[in-house]
Amino acid sequence: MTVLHDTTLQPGTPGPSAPLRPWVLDDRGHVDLERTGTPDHFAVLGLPRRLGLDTDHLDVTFRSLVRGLHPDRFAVHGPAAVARAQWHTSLVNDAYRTLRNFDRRVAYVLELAGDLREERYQPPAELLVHVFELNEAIDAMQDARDEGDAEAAAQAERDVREATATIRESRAEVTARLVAAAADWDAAQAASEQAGAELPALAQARTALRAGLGHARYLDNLLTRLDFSATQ
Amino acid sequence: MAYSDKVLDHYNNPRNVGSLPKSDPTVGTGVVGAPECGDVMKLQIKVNAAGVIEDARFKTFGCGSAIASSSLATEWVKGKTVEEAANLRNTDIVQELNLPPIKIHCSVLAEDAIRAALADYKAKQKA
Amino acid sequence: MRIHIAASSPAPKSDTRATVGIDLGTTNSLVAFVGEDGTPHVISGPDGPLVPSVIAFGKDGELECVGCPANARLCEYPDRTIYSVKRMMGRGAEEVVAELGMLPYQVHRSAGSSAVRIEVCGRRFTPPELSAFVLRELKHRAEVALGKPVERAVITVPAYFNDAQRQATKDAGRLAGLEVLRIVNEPTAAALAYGLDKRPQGRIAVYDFGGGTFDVSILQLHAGLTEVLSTGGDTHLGGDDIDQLMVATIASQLADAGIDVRGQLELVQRLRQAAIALKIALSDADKASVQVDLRPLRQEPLQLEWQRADLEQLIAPIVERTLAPCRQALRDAGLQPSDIDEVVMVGGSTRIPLVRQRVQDLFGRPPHVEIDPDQVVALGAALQADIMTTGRRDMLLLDVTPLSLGIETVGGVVSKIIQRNSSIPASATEEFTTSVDNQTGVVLHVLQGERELVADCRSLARFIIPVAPMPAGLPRVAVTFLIDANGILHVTGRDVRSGTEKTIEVKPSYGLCDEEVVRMLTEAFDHAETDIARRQFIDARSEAQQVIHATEVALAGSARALIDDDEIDEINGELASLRASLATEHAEPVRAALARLNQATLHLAEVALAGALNAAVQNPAVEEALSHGPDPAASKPHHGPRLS
Repeated sequence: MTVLHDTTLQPGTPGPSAPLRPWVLDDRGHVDLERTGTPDHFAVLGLPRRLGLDTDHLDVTFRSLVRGLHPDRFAVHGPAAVARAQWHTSLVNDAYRTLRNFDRRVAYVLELAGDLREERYQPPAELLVHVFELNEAIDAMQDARDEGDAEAAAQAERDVREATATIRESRAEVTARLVAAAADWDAAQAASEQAGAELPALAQARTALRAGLGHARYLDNLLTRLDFSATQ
Repeated sequence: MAYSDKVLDHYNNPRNVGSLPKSDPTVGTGVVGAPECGDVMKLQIKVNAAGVIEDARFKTFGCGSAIASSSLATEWVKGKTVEEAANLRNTDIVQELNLPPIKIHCSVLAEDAIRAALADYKAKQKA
Repeated sequence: MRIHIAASSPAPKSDTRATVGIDLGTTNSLVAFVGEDGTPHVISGPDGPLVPSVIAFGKDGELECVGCPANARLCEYPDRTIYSVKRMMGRGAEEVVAELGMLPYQVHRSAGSSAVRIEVCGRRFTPPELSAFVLRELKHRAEVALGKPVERAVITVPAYFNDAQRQATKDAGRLAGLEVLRIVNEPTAAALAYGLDKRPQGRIAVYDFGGGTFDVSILQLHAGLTEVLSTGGDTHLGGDDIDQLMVATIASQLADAGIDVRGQLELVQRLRQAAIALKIALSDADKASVQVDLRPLRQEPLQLEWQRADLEQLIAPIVERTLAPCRQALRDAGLQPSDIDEVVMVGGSTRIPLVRQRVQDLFGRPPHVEIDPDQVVALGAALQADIMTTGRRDMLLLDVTPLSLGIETVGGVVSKIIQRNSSIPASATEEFTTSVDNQTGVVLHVLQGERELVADCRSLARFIIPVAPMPAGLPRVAVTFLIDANGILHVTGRDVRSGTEKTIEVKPSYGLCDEEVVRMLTEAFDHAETDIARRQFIDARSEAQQVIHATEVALAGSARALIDDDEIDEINGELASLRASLATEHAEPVRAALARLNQATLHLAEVALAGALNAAVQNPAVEEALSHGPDPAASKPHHGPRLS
């Protein structure tokens, strides 16, 4: 059993000596999942578990890690070294992909907490009706196009464009709410870490995050469909 | 790992797609959503004088499993009384469609939609 | 003659094994290599740089030729001349028939899997075996040009290739005796070749419209790191479709005139070649004409005359079909067309002016067309080979997986575990258990694709995870799915309770299992003798060239004055005879001539060495070279034939 500690990365030097992050490796050089569990994305990148993070710093960390660990660096060192590099790089890639995007980062933090029924988000009826009606409007626009009814299609397109603007505004509001909830969560998480136990504020922050993310998902689905129908 | 033709059929040829007049006092409408994936589902029932659901329609913007679940739900409630329909459980849909764990919320959505439609109908009767 | 003097330019110690970059194309293939100067070059053969991806067999089903000579036989022997193998790689028999339409040769399902087998004169071949013939030709070409054995390669594939297609390409490399260091996506390779990685940062769109496939990739550059943000494409869309459309149009015009070419394989091939000629001519000219021999259906030849506008009208829908994946790739990368700093064109079909115009319209900037679109991918592959083997370039390619990976769950629904456009290597670990008591295995079905139902996705493989008989739900097996840097899936299992690794038997749905590859390699030993002979010749020639060079240097130097004319004549005679022996392409005559030249130059070598020793007093570099004795690489016996 070896615990490898972070050393300075030296990009551009292919070879098995490329440094590794502090993961627990077994004697064969595999990450010991039994010890580390599925490695936590924050831990893989050497970051504290916080939602507010400096994405520039994240980019730099990712690039330097991947430069040292990527299997292409080990191509001439035999299949075992390549296999190990594949596995390590996949962990770095997965962590980066998840944490680089704010929404995905929030979803990941919620996933770590588990599916908690009492924190579940129930979308308000008005939102659902609104989303439903907009979906029907997109359908109507596509039908009008399919039937070659230029006038109806133009009218429908105007309606859809207006609706898109409104949805984008709502999405921006939801993002602002999520950012505020993320700051609350970070504070609660820091306090919980210090207290050595989960504080009630953490669950409150999570509930707010779940609500924001749930709301955002409806708007995003709709925006994807609106964008797609606009380019058709 | 074969899956039943019935499932495929509900995926490929969903039944009862469409809508009923919303303002009709004998029509109950439910619009529900699944926050897991952002799907939305509208389900409507038309109840006759004897309290039997004589027609049901749905429209779902979402994944195939949500569409299949709502298609199956409308098939089931037709011909049932309002009371019988209230007993429908999402687990029945899960079993019938063989839904995998990640798609169970789709069946929950269908159950929620029926409840919402029934509640809307009852509210209209009281009014 | 062995004179190893560190004169003015000591020869850099070159690796005894070369690593090349190969563009294994639908229509043409190329091999490229990065020279000592660090720049990539395409290796040309007698017919130029392109090796048509065409394989010709004899009446008995024995391989006759590959490349240009095979291409020339397409019309004459359509039933035993194979082309467009790339479109069959990693695919099922039904798909191949559906996509390629009527084929002049028979297509079979292979026993026990859906993979396709092509029957040629009673022999059956898998697509990787057929591709291996093309790869062997490229390998040979590179060995002849570089004068050393080539055992490793980077091979490119369309970015949109799925796991089975990538695996098939890797298998083909293995069957051709090449260790495939990396499978690289064609658009990514093209971006490397343009040297755009030298930009400190920026975003690039690569539009790759080749013979059989269309690909688009959006890349982000950052100080030597080339990160693919998204990729999209259509594996069923290429220049071939344009050719087919043209042939169909011509055929229907002929049908109107009462000439039915259907079923006339040779005639259809002639029409196809005429269509290609027209298409190529219309890229430069506004109108073009070509004659087609219609015999035996009609005595007088058909005169075809097309305007560029005719062609553009005909192919406009095909060109439009390439733009949707471009928009999707932009959306996936979260970018607008205006966010793109450079657009790179790859593939022969991008020579068509309409294609360039539509791409320019979409991205709002003229695309890069400076590098020959047929060569750009091979050049990039060579650069990647150089990056991976020399360590002299601080560059790295980070690719993505073009398709989501999922597993079948109860009910025939696909549960996605790795999303498309994830950077690779990417991994996911899922835990599985049993549903009935004493179950001894869990069956897993792995798929690739974006759709929700198993039936709509690409089946990759089925695995059985063995479990010890226990009450239902008790066993816990963690299965890790890893998509490697080549875009190829690896599966490992682990018993969570005991912590022991599980062997998982992988049965690819459309590929070759390991046993089959091993069997084919064994079969390839039938041809091993010729391979050994070729290797021996290459080694002998390499040595001959060194000796010829050394002799010429010695003759041009001060030693010349100390040797009498008869000796010089003899040396010149042996030099000529050694040069002539190279033309035999056999090792023995070269070795014999080499021995005679060495004998004839013994005196010259002594004199030259004495002169060099004197000079060494004034030249520390020489002193050092001499103090290490003769270069062991030059005096050691030639490395014996190796089969890999």
